[in-house]
Amino acid sequence: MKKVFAVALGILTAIGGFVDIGDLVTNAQVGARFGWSLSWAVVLGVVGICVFAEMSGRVAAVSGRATFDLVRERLGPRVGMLNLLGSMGVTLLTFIAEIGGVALSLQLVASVHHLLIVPFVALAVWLILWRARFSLMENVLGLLGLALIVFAVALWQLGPDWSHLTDQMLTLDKPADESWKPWIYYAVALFGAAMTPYEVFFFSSGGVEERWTAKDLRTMRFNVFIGFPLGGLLSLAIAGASATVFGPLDITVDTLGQVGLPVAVALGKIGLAVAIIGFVAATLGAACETGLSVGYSVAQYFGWQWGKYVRPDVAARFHLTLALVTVLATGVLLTSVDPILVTEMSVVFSAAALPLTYFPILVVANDPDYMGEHANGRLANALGSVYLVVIVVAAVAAIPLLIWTRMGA
Amino acid sequence: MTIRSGLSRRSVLLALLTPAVAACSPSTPDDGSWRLHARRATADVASSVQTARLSLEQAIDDRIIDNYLQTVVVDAEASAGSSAEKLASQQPPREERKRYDTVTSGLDEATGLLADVRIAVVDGRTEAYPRLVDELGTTADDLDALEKELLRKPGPS
Repeated sequence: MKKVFAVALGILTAIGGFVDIGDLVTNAQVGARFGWSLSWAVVLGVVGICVFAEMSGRVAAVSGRATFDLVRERLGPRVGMLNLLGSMGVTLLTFIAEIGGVALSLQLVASVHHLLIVPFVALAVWLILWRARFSLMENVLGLLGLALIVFAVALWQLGPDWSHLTDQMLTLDKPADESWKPWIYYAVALFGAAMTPYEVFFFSSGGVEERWTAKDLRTMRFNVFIGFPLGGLLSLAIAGASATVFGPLDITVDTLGQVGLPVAVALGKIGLAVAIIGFVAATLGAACETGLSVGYSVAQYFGWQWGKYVRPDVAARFHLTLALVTVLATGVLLTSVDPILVTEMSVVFSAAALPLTYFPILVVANDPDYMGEHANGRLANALGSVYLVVIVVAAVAAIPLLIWTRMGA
Repeated sequence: MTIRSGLSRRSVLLALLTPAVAACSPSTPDDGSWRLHARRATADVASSVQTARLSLEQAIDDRIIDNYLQTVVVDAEASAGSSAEKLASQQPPREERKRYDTVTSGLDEATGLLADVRIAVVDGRTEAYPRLVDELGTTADDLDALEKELLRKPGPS
């Protein structure tokens, strides 16, 4: 019974924790402009994150060390540094976007400008990172993030033209009034949002924090193969609700307030209140995860003591890094940069940095010296290799598309 | 590297100064590119107008939280204002001057209406919402027509 509860809890937190500010904004933008015609990019991203999260979770459970702890050892300091700079840079950008996202979410209920809220959010995030227990942080915020299921209920309640949506989903084509350039740009952005590097940083390091062993592999796989795809369905629900309400009015989504409007149309004030709880939980949870991921990656590269399972005075440099990146993120946001713009940039740069994150995972998970009998099998290797090609294509295309389309305009 | 000849010095100086001088004067896009920018700005402002209208409709039906409504309409006004301002600051090509006036005054009217909406919402004047919804609907239709008109090259109408 305890085991079943642990599996269920893991799946629920994986669903709730899957959606972050990047998924919220990108899916709503895409839904409003392209309906479900880019669902394939979400599906592609979800399968990809499942493949690599399973690998990194397996590495953590079998070796007792986080994936990036092994990258430097296995691939050398130069590749390790490249990996650190690329992946950490994107994760830091995502961290800034998530803190901005929490502030924007709170602005929706407080009506106070988000810049006034940012310092308080940053303080709260830092306190959670410093004081809260890992499992408490992950479970509470992950479960509250499930409030975003309200988008699926709203979509159902809105009664969309299901045959039209399904047709869009199954036909590889853009809407007639759109051009191919932004369609491809948003496909890369959605793929980047679904495969954000911090998800594997956090997943593998979290496995070490929670002291997984080979016995936990089954539970870990349930979390990944059930939780993440259901999280992907939430993304599609956000896009579907956005398509149904905004599509006919030619509304483009630029703000977080717009993202929740379809829920108000479908379910009224109570639904909207639930959606706001979901926004706050999803962004706050992701802020904690990305903040920790930056600390994890730096500490693991330099071989410092790290993690929330050790006392802060033992892992002083790790906690100092967390404090410094929180101050940095606050400083960037206080320059009055638009958090939604940061979010849009972070998902595209995520796509550009994907090979730096996922190639080393494939190498380590395939190494019998570390993994023994749990090294990648044929299926994992085949999927990993195919995805590596897709990832490289997305990474090469991301920045030129960003410039060429003027961020999908 | 040393620059030896006077010609090379002048070339380098010219190469350095040209972008600096160009940056001091407003660039004039060609008419096709101006029309594209104008269409985008019109579509962006129309999107803000429709967002405000949708939000006010929810408020009339008591389906939206007051502070949420306030944030959405403030954002809509800011977004529309920024799009209108960006277009207005662009030097229009000579053959598009007339339409420049039509488009910028259309966008100004729309942003003015969004300011009225924001004032009504912040003041809690709910009795004004139905009228504002009608006005926003008309403005959205006008902007839609303007956007379609911008597909046409300039010339006698």
